[in-house]
Amino acid sequence: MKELYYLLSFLLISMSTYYFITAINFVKRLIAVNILGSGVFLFFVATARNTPSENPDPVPHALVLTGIVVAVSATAFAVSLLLHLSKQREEE
Amino acid sequence: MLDIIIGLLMLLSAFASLQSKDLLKSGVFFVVFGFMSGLLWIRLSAPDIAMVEIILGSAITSILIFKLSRGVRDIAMKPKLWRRLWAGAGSLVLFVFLTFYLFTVREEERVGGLVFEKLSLSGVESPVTAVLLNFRGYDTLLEVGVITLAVIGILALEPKKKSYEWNDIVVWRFSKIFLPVIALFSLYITYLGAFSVGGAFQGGSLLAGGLAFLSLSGQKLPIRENPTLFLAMLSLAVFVAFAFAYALVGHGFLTYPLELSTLSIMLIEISICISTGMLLYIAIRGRL
Repeated sequence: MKELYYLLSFLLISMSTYYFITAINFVKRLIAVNILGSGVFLFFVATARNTPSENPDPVPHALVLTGIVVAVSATAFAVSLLLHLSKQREEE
Repeated sequence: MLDIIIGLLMLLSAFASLQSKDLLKSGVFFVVFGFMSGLLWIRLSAPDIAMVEIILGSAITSILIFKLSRGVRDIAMKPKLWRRLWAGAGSLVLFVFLTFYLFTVREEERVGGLVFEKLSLSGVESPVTAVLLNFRGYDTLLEVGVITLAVIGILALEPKKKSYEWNDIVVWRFSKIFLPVIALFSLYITYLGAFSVGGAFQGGSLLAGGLAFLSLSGQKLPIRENPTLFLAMLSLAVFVAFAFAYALVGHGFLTYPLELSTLSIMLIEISICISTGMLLYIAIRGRL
């Protein structure tokens, strides 16, 4: 049962890697990076549960919390960059 | 069984989001994906992450993506066959290599035991908050730095005149009524982080969600540009001030003295909550 979480995270990671490389639109690429991040976070949280003790490990939880906030701010910055890029291309 | 259904829905929504031709559709499927992963975090007994994921990972990321799909017209590139083949082979190899991990994975005692052992020294009762603000304080300090830097970059990049305009009287009325309630509740969640599920980033993302409603209505906060920036940069200043103050007294960088640790963590958390909300508000609006 626990292996299924790992398998799900591996599937998400490899699927979004494929779409990140082949997507024809930058918006799709941004979504692919976000889904890849979710896959990695799922791997962390599944690892946190994989202990004999009753409580899950709080260290990966804190790392994932940090990771989600950083991913959102990186996405916001990427959105700004892409808007800027498309504006420049329109002017050309 | 429930986990399998949620997992399948996650996979399907991720696939639909990546595969669909329409950008609006893929944004909507991304919301579904974020929501499903939030449900899975709850099933994996990580409610702290679930709160942040549902607000930030699904709602606010999708607002940003919708903003992009409205403002961007033509940035598509031509796909080539060799590129597709190469990418497909590469990701297949990646998947196979990753699945080898499954043969070596086993239950073992991790670093979490140490956290529970030392929890009484941290000044808070919630293990996740203790790791975030006391044991791994450096990470959180740098994280606040990263968000602040991202917003500085956004402010530098955004055009002077707006390329998009949201305007909605219903959302404006709604946010007028609910924004004070949301702000109060986010502070409560921040306070709750010392004892149970909750914390600075949960509260901050809730506040950002409330402010996102305000942005979507086309209105803005009734405060000027400089105070908004001040509130956004507040947490970095407070965090660095605490770190250096204790270092100068002789406790070490980011090492709180035991009797003051609860108070210091509380103050830092409240400043992070306010700043995260303001920073994401600026990130959604693009400029002040």
